Amino acid sequence: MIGSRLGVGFALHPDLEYLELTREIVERDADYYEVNPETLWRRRDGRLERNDYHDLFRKFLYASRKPFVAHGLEFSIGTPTDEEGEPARIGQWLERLRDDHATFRFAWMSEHLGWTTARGLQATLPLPLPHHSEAVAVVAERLGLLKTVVPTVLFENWATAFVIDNPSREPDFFNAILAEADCGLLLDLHNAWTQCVNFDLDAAEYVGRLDLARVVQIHVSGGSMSEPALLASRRSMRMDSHDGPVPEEVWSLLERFAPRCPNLRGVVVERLNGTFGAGDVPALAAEVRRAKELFPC
Amino acid sequence: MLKELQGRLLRAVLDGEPFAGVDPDGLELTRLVVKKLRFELIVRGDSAMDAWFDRDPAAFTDAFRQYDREIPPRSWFPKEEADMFRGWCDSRNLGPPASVK
Repeated sequence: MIGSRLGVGFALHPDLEYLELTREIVERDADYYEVNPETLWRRRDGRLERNDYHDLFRKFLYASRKPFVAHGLEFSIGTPTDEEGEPARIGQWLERLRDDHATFRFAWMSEHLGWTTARGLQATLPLPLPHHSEAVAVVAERLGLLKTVVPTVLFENWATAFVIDNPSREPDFFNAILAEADCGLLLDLHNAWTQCVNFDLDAAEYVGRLDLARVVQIHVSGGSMSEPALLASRRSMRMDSHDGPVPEEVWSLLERFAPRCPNLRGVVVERLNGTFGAGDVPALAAEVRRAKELFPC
Repeated sequence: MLKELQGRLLRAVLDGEPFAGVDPDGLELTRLVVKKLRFELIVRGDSAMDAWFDRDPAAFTDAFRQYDREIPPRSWFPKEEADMFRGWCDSRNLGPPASVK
């Protein structure tokens, strides 16, 4: 599984304001770029095709000569392949991904664990899976499909507002998928910490039980607590909203666990477009530099 | 078994119904996030809808709430969702004033 170390990456979001705000980070600090391939597509007459950002990011590629990795969301790796409409959707998806990979030569491709679609309906965000063998097999099959396009495939551990099975057993479930799919792990430390905050678990113990030899990439990001007024119970839960600075607890996890991931090739500092202004950019750049200190290239 | 579970669970999320064995707070928070993401798809997918929201958030929100109640989410492409919303608004003579169309 060992490949070359890429360093610290930064996401390219399809948002001109974001790209302008983060220009210095993108051009100066980032060692590689992470893109969501779906944001490079649009649907026309029932088919998926390139949108304008495909061309823009291709220019980034040629100008920077920096590596790209893909980070998908809506392939819905927890959806059975025989679900209504899925065979056609999968075919279109892989065709488009193949086209993107021909351009960007992704060093790896990651997908969010979970499922976003069922019976033709869309949740848009990944929902949790039960921890049983059928779910393991479904995820492994879909990751196998992605491997036919991008040879190195990872899945990202989730942060979910509810669970179907015992959350303390999630590391075992993730490890079962890693073994069955023979794939890598995108260890999202904010997701892991968020899950442990919401379900009263020990984050270091949770992360330490993962098969760290499978970790190829780490994400660090921030989030926020939900407004108590949103729920009748007035309960507040931590959200994986990528809308704030990386918490110290997440930095501590990075410092502790990055050295224990022998196949780690990259770390990405995530921040969602639209959640910061020009005044926040120096702090964001400092986060990228801090990640580089913890994970020198 | 998994397909059946996912179908029932997604309906529970979208409809705000309880689901046996699942924390209702987590389910409700997920339902709200799904709606927020759907709203964001629409304003990202159509600049006129974005302008309508900026100019008259109450009217936009009323229309969106009604749309979301009547039409279940089936797309994750911003323009596709925005086009569906626009078509729904047109069918009810709702939507942005001509000045932002």
